[in-house]
Amino acid sequence: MKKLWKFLTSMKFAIILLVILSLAMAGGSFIAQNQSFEWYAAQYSERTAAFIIALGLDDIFHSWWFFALFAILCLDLFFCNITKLPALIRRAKAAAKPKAGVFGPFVSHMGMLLLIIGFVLGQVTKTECTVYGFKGETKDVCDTGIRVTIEDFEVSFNEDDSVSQYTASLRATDGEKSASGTASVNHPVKLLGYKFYQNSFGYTALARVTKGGEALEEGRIIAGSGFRIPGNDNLSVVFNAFYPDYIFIDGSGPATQSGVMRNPGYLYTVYYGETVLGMNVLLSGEKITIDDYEVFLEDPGYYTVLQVKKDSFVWLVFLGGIVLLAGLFLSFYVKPLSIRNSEKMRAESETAEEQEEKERENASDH
Amino acid sequence: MLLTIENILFTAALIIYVVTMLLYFLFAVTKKDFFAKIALITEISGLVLHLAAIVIRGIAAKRLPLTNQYEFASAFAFGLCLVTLIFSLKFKFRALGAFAMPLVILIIGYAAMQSKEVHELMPALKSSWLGIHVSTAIIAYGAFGLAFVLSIVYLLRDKMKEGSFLSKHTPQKEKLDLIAYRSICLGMLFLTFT
Repeated sequence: MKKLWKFLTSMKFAIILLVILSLAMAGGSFIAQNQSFEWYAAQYSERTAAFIIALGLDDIFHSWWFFALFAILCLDLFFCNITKLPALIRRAKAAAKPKAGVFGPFVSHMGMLLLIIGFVLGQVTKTECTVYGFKGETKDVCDTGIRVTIEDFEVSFNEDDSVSQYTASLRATDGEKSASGTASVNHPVKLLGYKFYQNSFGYTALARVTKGGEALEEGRIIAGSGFRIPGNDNLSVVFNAFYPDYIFIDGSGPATQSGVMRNPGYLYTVYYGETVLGMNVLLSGEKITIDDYEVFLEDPGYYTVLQVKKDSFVWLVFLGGIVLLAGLFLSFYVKPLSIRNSEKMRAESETAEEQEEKERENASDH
Repeated sequence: MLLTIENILFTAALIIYVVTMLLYFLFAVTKKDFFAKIALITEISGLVLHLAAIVIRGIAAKRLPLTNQYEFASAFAFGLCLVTLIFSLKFKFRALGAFAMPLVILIIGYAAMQSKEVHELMPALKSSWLGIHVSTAIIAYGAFGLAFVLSIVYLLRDKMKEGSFLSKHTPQKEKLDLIAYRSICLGMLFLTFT
């Protein structure tokens, strides 16, 4: 029993665990995760696909055995270091000053442990949600009970037409309180306990349908979505893509020169049932005519994609990181005198050239 | 205007690094102290000019010059040369330059082939962490580059016979190993932080 314990808390076992975990993580990188059986069957073979799914290799980082291995590694890390602590304290007592250096590796390992615990606790207790919307919309933040209104979303540009910043003005409310602020890339805003990150964006346009001059329907749609022509079961229009600064490149097709809305171009497809009737790029002032319907795509705008997060253990991860760095510093730069002396002796060993010179000097002295 | 000055300084630094490498080679062949001394002076001058180029670029771009391939490779070459200089002085290993300068020139040569245009930072890079991240990375990479050079010297010394230039002008293998170890410690500390 004692032998088993000794093995389980040995460095050998930790290394074995690390090797298995690295292989698992490498697998997670080389085998595409979260794909369907058919996907794997097409990529490799039916037998390999069955093997992959059976072992949970399609979602390695959420599989029970991955967690179990990691949990065992953490326990091993903890006990390995704790059991060696008395010996370390004895060594520190015997060593010359500065004594703290002896504890370098111990502190490093504890730092790593704090980091892992902080991460796991964070993963288990956190909330993460993606919310998207355009100016004026109010959306629910998953099931947190919070509703967020996108009061404004601005994209600012530099002189050379590259994007300078994406800024979203938000107002969040949970029914009782409300808070507002702006979120831009790398500068999230904390509202009602949740952090709102400006993550991504897309384009929107105002779609209008008229028939014989009479307005039928209008509404704002995001690029990539479509709508049916009201009153006609078969006709539909899809707003495929948007080009803010539209040009047509010979040999390659429609494209945009920059993000500045200089020459808006709306790529659309008209469908009759499943059949494509036509596909083209609509420019400012133009309209799509289908029978006696007229479709307008105009007034381009943006929608923002926000990531809403609440992680109560980020501080623990930070603390773990700092402790880890402190441990490294102790290991490398705070060395008890005895170790430093032996290193110095090795460092001061002369090169053959210097030895020759010394001999020559000594010889010339006599 | 400032960018033209930066260009001149950068090219001057590159030329001086090449001269330094040649001087260290001459020291290796002739074993005359004189060459080692001049090489040290040119090495430091090259570093100063290189640093000036980086600083002026930062002033011209109104941000830390550490964002694209050209800027990073240039800073990496600087970091490597700086770490080499410090370690060669601390451990009294003058010929280290002969082995490290070729690597420095390789990296700064790569930098010279990149586009030197100054671009505005994209929103994802607009953060106070950028400066901290890239500068610690440069020191870490410089330290690892030096460890690489030292290890090559170790291997060469292992293969060559006693009495050759290498065994006479390079420290004992234990010392080389120790310096490489210290360099890796520095690199690991900074890479963890980066």
